Amino acid sequence: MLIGSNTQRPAWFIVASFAAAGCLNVLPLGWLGGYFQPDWVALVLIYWCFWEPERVGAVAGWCAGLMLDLLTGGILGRFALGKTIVGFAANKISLRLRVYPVWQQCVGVAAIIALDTLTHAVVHLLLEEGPMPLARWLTPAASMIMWPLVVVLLSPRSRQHRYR
Amino acid sequence: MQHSGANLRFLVLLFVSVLLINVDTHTRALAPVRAVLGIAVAPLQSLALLPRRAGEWVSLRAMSEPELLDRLDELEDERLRLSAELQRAESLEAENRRLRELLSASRRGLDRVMLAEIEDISFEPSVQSVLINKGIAHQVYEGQPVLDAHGVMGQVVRTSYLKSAVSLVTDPGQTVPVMVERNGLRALTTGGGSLDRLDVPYLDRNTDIRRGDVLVTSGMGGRFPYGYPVARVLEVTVDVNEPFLRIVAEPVARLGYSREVLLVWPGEPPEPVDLPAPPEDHGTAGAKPAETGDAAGSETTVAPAGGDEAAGAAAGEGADADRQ
Repeated sequence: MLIGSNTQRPAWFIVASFAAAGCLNVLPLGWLGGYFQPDWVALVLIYWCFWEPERVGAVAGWCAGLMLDLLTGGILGRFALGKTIVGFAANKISLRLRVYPVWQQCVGVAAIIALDTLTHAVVHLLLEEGPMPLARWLTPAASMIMWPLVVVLLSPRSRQHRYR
Repeated sequence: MQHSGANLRFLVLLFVSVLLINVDTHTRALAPVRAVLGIAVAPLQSLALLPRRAGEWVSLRAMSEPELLDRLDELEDERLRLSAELQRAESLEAENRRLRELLSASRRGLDRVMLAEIEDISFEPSVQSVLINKGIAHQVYEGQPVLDAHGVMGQVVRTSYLKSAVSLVTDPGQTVPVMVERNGLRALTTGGGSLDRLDVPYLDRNTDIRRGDVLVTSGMGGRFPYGYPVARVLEVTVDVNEPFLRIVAEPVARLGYSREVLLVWPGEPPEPVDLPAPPEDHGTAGAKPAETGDAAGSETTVAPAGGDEAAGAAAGEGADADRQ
């Protein structure tokens, strides 16, 4: 089989990584006025969808999105919708993308997160909250830059030599 | 086979998400769900706030003693000034209550308030709402007005057990019934989408409203209590092609800066607070109302002449009793 599929990570590790990503997502960092904020939850979700596709997919994405909804005190389902799509899409292309070098995966990751942003924009319009600010489209780019970091942090040691 | 199962799951989840969004925007059915699940994520929220709190703690420790003393002096001055103003406000309040009683208008007193803190948790800075650290556990309810030291901030839109989300007055979906302080003209403000802009729609071209007018809550609709400042009119534009004035106002509350906010329970009497009241307050409070009651009575023609004294005295006693 492909790389990594024999190294199962414990479930608690996956859950903890989602929790940590949720914290990072709502951390008031204020990078460039708060707009240039990587979507850590989406990144972690995509990572697990790539390397644990049997366990993490749309369902896990939905749960992670619901966690974000609760964390931000927003309308339930807003983030869950986008993250479901991210989970599903990442699962679909996981076999193709995970054989690429990390820097090439960045492009795919950005594309998947752009789907999330698009969903967000649609929800914005449908809820009549006015158009989503254009700066929100920076999220895929910001997340893309952080992808290698996420890969290095979450990969088991046995696979880490590939990224050095 | 497993493949189609995944597709089906995906579609079901999409449907569920859309359903959730719809139900949550139009009904309050999900409030208990949020209240319970909210507890589960509360530790994560605290964790996310930790760096900011730590930074504040460090900067507080790093302040030198003279700086702190200066700050203390400043606050002492401010407190003195405010307590002087409060005493004046109290006598006005008592007078107002008596006058309203003479007119048999409904009573209008101070409201119960509670201090809350804004937790700057937001993935999206554009959404005009903030999270505060009080929830159902502190009797916060949906639709509750929220103020800061300067004016109306917004209202609670969603509550969980320990936190609630407050939608600011600048949210495009928020409408506040207001009136012009100068002449009592009633109007509405709606959010303009950015933190420093409010629109005042549906005012006729020959309406008496001008730059600098202060808009205070009118109490219409029963959600916001009467008389709190909301906005100041910035510009009034007359467009001959449009039936209404185009009015831009700025919120009085410091929406981007306030950390401490006040939750208000309109109509509930305030909890007793130890005020720096002078010891002879009891005597003067009893005497003064009778005087003003008389003065008001002589000006008010609707009240019967004989009833003046009694009404004035009764109102005076009422005010006195309230103060105790």
